[in-house]
Amino acid sequence: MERLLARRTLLALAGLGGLGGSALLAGCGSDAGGDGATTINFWSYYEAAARGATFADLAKQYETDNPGVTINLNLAPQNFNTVLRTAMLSDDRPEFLGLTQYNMRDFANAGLLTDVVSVLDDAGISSDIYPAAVEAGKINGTLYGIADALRFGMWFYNPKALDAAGGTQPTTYDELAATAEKLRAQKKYPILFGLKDLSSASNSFQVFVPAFIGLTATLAAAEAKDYTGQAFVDALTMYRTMVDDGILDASDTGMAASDAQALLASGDAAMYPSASYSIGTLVDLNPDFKAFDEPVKLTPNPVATYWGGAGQMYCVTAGTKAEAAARKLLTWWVKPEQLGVQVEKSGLVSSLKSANQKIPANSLAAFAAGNLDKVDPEGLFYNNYVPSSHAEAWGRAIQEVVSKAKTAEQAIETTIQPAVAK
Amino acid sequence: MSRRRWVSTVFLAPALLIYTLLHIAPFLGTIALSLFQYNGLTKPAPVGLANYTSMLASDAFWQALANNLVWFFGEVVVATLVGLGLALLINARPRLATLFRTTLFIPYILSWAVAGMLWSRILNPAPTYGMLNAFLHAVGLESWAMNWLGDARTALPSVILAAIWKGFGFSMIIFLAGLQGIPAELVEAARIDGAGSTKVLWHVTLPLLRPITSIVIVLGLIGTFKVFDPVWVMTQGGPGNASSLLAILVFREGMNNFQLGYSAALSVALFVCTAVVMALYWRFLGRSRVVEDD
Amino acid sequence: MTETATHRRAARTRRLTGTIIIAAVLGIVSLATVLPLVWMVFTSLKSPAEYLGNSWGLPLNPQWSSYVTLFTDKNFGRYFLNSLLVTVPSVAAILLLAAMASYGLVVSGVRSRGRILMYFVLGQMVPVTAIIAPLYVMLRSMGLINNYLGLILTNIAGAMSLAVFLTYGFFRAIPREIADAAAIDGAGHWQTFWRIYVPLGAPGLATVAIFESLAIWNEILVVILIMQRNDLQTINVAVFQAVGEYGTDVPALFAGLTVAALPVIITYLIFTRQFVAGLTAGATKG
Repeated sequence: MERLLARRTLLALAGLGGLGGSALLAGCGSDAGGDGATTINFWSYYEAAARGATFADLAKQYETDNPGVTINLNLAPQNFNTVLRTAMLSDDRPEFLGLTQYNMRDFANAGLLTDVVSVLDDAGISSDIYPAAVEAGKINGTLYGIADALRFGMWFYNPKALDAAGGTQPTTYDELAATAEKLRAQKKYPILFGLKDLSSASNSFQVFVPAFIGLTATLAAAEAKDYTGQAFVDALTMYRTMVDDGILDASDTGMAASDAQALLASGDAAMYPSASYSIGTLVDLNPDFKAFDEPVKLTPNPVATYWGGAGQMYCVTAGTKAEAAARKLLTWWVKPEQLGVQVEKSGLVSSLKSANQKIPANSLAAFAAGNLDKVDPEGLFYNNYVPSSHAEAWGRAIQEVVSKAKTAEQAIETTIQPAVAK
Repeated sequence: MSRRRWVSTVFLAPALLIYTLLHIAPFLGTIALSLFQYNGLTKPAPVGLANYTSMLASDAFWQALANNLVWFFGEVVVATLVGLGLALLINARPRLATLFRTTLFIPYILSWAVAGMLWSRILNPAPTYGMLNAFLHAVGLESWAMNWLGDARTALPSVILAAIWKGFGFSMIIFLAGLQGIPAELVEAARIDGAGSTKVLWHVTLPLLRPITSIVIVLGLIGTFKVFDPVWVMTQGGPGNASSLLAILVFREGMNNFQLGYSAALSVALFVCTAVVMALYWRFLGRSRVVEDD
Repeated sequence: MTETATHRRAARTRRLTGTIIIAAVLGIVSLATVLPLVWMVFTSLKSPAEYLGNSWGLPLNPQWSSYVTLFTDKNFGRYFLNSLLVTVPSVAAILLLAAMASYGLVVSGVRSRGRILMYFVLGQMVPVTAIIAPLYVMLRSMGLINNYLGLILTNIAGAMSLAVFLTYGFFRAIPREIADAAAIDGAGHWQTFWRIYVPLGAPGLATVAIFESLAIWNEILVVILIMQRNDLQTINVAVFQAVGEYGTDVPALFAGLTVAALPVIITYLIFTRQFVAGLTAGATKG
């Protein structure tokens, strides 16, 4: 038997050699950096459609100013979390990253990211950057990421659609329900989130958490792996109530985010509670979008009235060959000249005060920038602080509640608790 | 004799090696992995049978299993029957039917990426976008317009509908081959005896098709547990878990939630289901075909 | 005599009625089957604005702009190339290895043949979904993620079970006398394999080739697992994964779907008989 095996191994090697043709292609997969040249792989969760052109221009500019450096952009491949984790664990890990806070936390705790606090001084932004943007990147006192933007929660609306229903901005739940009724009479959807996409579903929860729960309670629940508290039940029940009152539509669970945004742009849907990160996309679809002066108070006594958080965290991977080059890129990338480009092109509210001076007055971004200090810690984005599996489970529970498959209690018990208990 | 063994080994080696390394060995790995908790980043932690107990206690697991059964009856059986019906029709007028036969097989050869995305758009609930609801609105049947892929009650049936559209061609072709294998004399004899078309169908044709029908159904049953693409492309298992199948859970738990150990336990459950069906198949139908010697 | 004539005329009328009914039913079903695809093509020829106004009718103003942007902006040429770079080597290797293994089985002793065949067939019980976690970990540690070789090897491994079973079925039917005659003439095993078994088993190999080509071209799950970089994805996966980029532009999406579907449909229309034979061989032999 051993003799057979030994022969088999030998011949197996010969057999594999016969597959040499495909072996030649093996080199075509991974990046081959030339001699003396540095390649920086830059991965970001921003979508190519929204930010592709801007990033490409910036990358090209850096390459011109720094000959020998090549930047490979990889913007939001689908299943970004999965793909990113695979990459970070291979020898092929990207050197420069644009991450969510939670991914940053995961990787930092696994020792995959380096400390970037010196970059603040090197880039000269220590006094320019909002303290909140710095805090967002700190874990146990070490700075692992520099936020590119701060976000402010907003209720967007299509003016033409809302005018058809009387045009007043609702401020309480009852006013919202009344407005919804008028919109329904006009055959319009009052609010669409695009709940078929799991990420839209879990992101929509950011509107409800500050009203009912707050960040402290969320973090405690995540820690205890127990979301069965009444506040969570109430928040989830609110979705169902809104469906029953005609504010939300059960068919939302069959619409992708892009569908919802298209219907908003065309005026078939009126309102879109979200945050300033949506400004760029919405304005591209329809420049007439506006935002409510005040968010609608879903409950009489919300835990936090305003919500928001940090944007994308720029991080440098530890231990790669191009780490120094990536650090240098980061120092350049976070300067006001560069972050400011996004202010102009993407309707971003920058993490840098000087960049925000470029925001055109009377724009949605200006509105957000002017209100940043209203966000209190209880209103920070919940899914920047809990594991992505928890956020995904909430998204599923929301789908079940809105499609009326389950009540809030059932959804929490059967969809969320099993997922978070692992 | 030893030379023959040598030759045999040489020729078998490459196939055996790759097959073992990248198909069998990973499966053994799955079984092992199912006894650990592993998230891809930190070291795997041995947890004994905990993954299995939480799987059996999980609502999503039983729902997925039930959905797999619904899939079998809703898709496999229906597609088989549709294929049979069409094959009978085509076989009755073979020359006329060539064009139809070619056309009817087209959906089967498409990728689920194409078919799934297409049907997602057809079933989009907004009348501005979705072909089906737009059509219903246009002909005044608005009340029939539903949230096809977003309503927990209609999500799985809608995916099944798309799968029937895509799948019936397969059984149709198999039955056609089978029908062509029925000796004309038998049918003639029955007719001479005075049997009408219905009687011929019921007492001659269908009984002779029984072996093929069994094969198609059993293959379908085995395939049921492997179904992944249509659901993933169209609903990703949603809303919630309404349209999730076992394979969907395996992928989601492993690749989205990074619960690699739990995903492995689900894989083992999937394997057990497939193995049971295949074992029954061999026992009752296919044993003789598998290991025939000269 | 007149009675027979009447009988015959009645029989002819019955047959004609039957034909009309059958044609009508088949016609309707064919139309229903093809309708979604027709809608797909029509939509791809509309502008996004026109689609919003007229989502299910004929295009009033057909335009090809969506198709052009596929290749200029959306990198479809690359995706198509990736599909070719994966499918062709995979199928070539599958055929070679399955043929070799089948010859190995033909030549081997009766007892080990049964066992080895059983070992191969066992793999049918293990669907890809049952092995993705360790496969992923294994490929990652070998550096084969985001690598054509990784995808090709995985395709080969997954296909061996059925391919060997089918090919062996064909090889087994080749009369031993031919091989014996060649041996007497001094042919070695490799020559016997290459000059006798492969040519005579060619129909079987063609069957396997068609079956596997289609399966690999249309594959989604394994490609998502292994090719995680956008520029390495095959055309069918790219169409599915790139949805975010199409967003509200349904005509562009449908143009992509059409381009992804067209090669397969055209190949099928040209090689219909071989396609059908190849795809059903798996069933009837399994």
